[in-house]
Amino acid sequence: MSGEEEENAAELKIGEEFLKAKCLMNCEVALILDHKYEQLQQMSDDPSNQISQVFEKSLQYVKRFSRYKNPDAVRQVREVLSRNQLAEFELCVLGNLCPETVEEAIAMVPSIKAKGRSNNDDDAIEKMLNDLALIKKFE
Amino acid sequence: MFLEIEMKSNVVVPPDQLYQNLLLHRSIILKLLEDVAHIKATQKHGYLVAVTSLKERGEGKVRDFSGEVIFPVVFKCLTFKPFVGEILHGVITQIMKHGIILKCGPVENVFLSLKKMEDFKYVHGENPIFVNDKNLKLERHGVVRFRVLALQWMEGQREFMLLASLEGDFLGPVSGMENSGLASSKCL
Repeated sequence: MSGEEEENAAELKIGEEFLKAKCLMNCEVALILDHKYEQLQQMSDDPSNQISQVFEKSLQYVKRFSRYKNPDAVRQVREVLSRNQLAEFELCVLGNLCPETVEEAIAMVPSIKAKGRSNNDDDAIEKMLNDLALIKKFE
Repeated sequence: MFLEIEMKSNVVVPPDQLYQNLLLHRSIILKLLEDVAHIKATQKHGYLVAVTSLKERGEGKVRDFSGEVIFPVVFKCLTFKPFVGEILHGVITQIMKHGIILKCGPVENVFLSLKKMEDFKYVHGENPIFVNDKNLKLERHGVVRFRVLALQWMEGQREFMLLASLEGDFLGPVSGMENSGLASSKCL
């Protein structure tokens, strides 16, 4: 942790570098790792050299905690969330935790209610959650 | 949170794997993946999960005595980095009198102290559990939604230790992860 300012993801204080880094939702990670796994089986003579425990545990985790499995649905989820001027980090927390109510969404990502973001009033959040629920329904 | 981060490294290719063009490229990638798999994690970037793409490959330099060639590379890496304040899902691996151990992806040690879930009570038995007055249960293999309270980098093991908390709205045991989403949970 850097000493300058205390890290707090709830307030979106995660350090400049990581704020700009590309965050990925669990469902996106699952697609990437599945693909990587297959690639390595073909490319390497002994894939166990390249597939670490960290890789395996992460794959197991994202498979269990992905709400969306279908690649089209995963893409749509990012699209819907992207319309709402969210930071990458906020977008992925919402995509991972799938809150069902506006209240829950704000509890999970308090920064979406932070000042100066008029676009994210309760109605906008509600619409976003409804859109996400719809994607799940038709997946 | 899973992140995609740009990283730099030097890949050392032994002489018997030096080929031309595509085959050399393959050797470099495989060696890079092997290196990344060995590093496991760094304090700055978190757990290194997988290399997603090789962006740049510099000119190789021959090492005088061994004949190995060193290539500077720039690549993108998928990492898992826990942040203080972040909300995550974990799976319970152990229940003790004074708290619970969870795992969360590559993180093996997430400790949830009894002090950070004070409405839950320990119930002794062959399979001990924690229960609160709304009859929500924390049991082995169960899923919990928690907030990261603090984290510590363990240089020796090259891993993170997390402290978890259930203090806050919509945190606690989660049921039915697979189907209709999250029929959770605790609402204070």
